Amino acid sequence: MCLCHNPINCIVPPHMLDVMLLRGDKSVRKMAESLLKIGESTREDRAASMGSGVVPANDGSGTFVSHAMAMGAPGAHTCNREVYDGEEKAALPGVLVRGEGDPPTGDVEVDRAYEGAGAVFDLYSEEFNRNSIDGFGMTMIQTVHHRRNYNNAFWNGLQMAYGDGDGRIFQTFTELSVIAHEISHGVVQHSGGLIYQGQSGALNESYADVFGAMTQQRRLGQTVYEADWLVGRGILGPEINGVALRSMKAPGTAYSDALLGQDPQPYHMDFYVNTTSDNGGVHINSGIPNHAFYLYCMYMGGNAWEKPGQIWYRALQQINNPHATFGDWAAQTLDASISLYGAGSYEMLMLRRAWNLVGIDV
Amino acid sequence: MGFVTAGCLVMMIKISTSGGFGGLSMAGVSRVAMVEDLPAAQLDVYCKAFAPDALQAMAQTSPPAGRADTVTYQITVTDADGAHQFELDETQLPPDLLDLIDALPQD
Repeated sequence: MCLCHNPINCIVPPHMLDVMLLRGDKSVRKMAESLLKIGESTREDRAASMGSGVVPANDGSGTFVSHAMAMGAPGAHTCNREVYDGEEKAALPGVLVRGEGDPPTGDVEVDRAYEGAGAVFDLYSEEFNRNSIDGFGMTMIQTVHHRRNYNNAFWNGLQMAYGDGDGRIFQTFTELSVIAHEISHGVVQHSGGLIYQGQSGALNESYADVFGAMTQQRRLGQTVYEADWLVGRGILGPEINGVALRSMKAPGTAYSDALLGQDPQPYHMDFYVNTTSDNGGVHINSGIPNHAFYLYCMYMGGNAWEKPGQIWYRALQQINNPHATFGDWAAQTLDASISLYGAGSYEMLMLRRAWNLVGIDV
Repeated sequence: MGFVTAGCLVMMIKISTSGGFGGLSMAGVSRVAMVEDLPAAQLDVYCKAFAPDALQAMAQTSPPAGRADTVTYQITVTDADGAHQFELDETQLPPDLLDLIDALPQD
């Protein structure tokens, strides 16, 4: 029995409303938001009336196609960067201090954000034929000096923001892999999105780490064997016992510190962490797909942005499932390897092996 | 300690965070403020900003789609009616409120 009074809410399942919330324009998002709220209370009522106390969770694939992929990128890509000074306040974006083509300001954070965004733009443009974050030349807006002693960097759906850190745990966030990580969250959003919760959230995180590391390697001209595979190298405070925030080569080993504890990332599904914090451990379990990418690169050799990167990028453009699990993602990368290199190809077989090595059967 | 300080019903504000780029709990914020201990000039500002009704209204909004690495705030406001708990993404909090949080001393 349908308990709701809104017929649309009875027809549209919650996972589709999630997709609308993620991909729709303002009016669609507003509609989806209100329907989800009605749906939540309805499900709670329904569960309560059944005496279960459990709100049923729905899952399924989305129905949208990546806008940027469907439309194709225009021939001439345009890099447009704007860096703002947050002046240690929370209001975004802050005061514009460097626009596209402007000379260096002398402020290290400003200039690193500017140069870093350029390196990310070049990677996506030259290796993946993508014109900026949305595929259509979106201005890359970044705010540095965001808030006071702020230990974080984020993508808020429209722009990147970087704190200066408190000097104790973090000392900066404008390191290239971090900048590329945040911008890549924007790419995920404009490629159909991966819901930021549980396994799909960990995949969102992993994609951002993969392209963060890839940007760093390309800038340094490193092959997969020469790279350190660290995300956030040098951003931890001087007294912290650690080399970076995450290691794709050896998840769980980036730091071991009296204050921070041990890096909690697993490298295998056997050690998958079930938790409600951190949106279901999105920054923890991302270690598993991160390590699969690293292993695959070790099999392939060469540069990460070549075969492995092309497969990962294509998988993101085509997955069309914001609730994707690790298994869904692994299968999508396998599909991408087949479409790029053929069924039964070395590229496909080694990819399957990499996924198997982290405990994911495809 | 009185329940009402200069017309303010809020007695205590407790704030902690989770999430963020590193997902590190130790990198987060932990703040506890007794409203009566705040500077007199700031009292009304904090009272209005952390009024349970105001926080409830913020909780009714949705964070932007596609956001990532943002911090989640657990805010507990205690007044004469008891403790009111809220969990809010930082994108749901207005900048002025975030600046007020930053101005509070670390617990």
